[in-house]
Amino acid sequence: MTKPSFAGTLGERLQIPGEALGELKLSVLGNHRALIENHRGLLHCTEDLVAVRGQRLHLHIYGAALRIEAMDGSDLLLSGRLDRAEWEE
Amino acid sequence: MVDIWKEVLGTVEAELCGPEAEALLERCRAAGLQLWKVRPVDKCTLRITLWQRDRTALEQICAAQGFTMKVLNLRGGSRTRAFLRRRKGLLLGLLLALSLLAASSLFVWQLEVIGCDRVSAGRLLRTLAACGVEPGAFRPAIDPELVRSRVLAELPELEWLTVNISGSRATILVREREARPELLSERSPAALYASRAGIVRKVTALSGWSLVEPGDAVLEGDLLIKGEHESLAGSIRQEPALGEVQAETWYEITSVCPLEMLQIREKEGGKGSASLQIGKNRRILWPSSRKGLDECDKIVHEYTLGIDGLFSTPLRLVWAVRHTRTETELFAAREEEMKAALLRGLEERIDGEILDQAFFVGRSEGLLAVTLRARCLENIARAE
Repeated sequence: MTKPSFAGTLGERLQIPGEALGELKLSVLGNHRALIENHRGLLHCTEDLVAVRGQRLHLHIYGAALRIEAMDGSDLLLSGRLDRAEWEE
Repeated sequence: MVDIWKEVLGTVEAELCGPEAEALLERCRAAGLQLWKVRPVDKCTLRITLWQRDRTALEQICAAQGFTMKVLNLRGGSRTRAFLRRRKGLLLGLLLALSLLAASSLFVWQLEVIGCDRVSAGRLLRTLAACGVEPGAFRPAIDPELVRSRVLAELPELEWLTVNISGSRATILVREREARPELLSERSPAALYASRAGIVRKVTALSGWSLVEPGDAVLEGDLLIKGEHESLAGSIRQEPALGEVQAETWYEITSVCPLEMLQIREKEGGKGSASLQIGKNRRILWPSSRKGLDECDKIVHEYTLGIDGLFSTPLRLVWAVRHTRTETELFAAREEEMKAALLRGLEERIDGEILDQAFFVGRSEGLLAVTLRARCLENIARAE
């Protein structure tokens, strides 16, 4: 079992939402749209895999016909057929 | 709204070709560029859309990363601005329309009354106009509380009223006062009589003394439950008769109509007239013919400029079309419609249910007669 980060523990104690502390947030609509907030950069971008860097974790989203609908400094809107998501420390 | 903004600021669709597209996107993110519709074409090619103002920054990033950039499409922005610069009249018109729209939203242009039944909408609108709520009224000057107090004082038939103003539309919600029922003394005598001949099936006398029993045959006007009774001491006791008498009744209703009728048809291409209503003033754009209304039907269409439920403007186009009646055609009377109408009429007439029914259809001397015979179970007790 991985040890929670200091920021995570502090946020939990102080009841501060994780996204306010810069944690990666993933919101999924069905299996065709995903919104990734607080990302720190794009690691990989192909039609079947989109990988982004978070504060502590890397997020890998696998699927088909994946497409970045919009992207700015912190948010990324993804569309296509989403199959699964993996987190990597 | 986003699309309008994109038209104003302008967007560029570009194709980028080079190694490690992710690194390029990361540089774009770090530079604060907003990107849309990022899609890889192949392993080395990427298509993206971004603001026109970020084009130079992207070119610099591409040069630093060893990418080639090819602009595929330019939309809005400088093109839109150049288009409007060449058409100053259009730009002026747009600005004028927006200004007029902003100014007109400060006034009420549309009134809607909901809940008026006994009090006529015209009477209510006249009273509201006297209180300052009418088309063209300055919206901030309307005090709904004051309007309510004044209208309720003017129209005692109303129990409650509220004025909701949304944009240029005022919705007046009204609740009418319920008519107070006539109060009868508990000691006043009353009796229940048969409203129709039939055979009594069930008697429920809540007050008074029943004179009939299940199985009795009664005629219309017969006394069913009486309110006066002679007590053992010889005095007359009086109380209002209350109750229900369920009886089997029979109906025979006939409807007759001609087998073939002449129907008036509208002639195509009727002449129309159009007028433009600005606030309370009407300007006739082109007049109608002087033909009298006896020879034609007049159908008026009104189109208000605005979006229903969002905003409305004082401009209203009134289009009146006159259809001349010239041609006629024969059509056959519809038997099924007559049967349905007879059944519907009977259901509305009785205070009970239809047990069984039968229709008889006859045709003679150019007439179609449909007869409904029905057996019903209904409450026949009436005060009069």
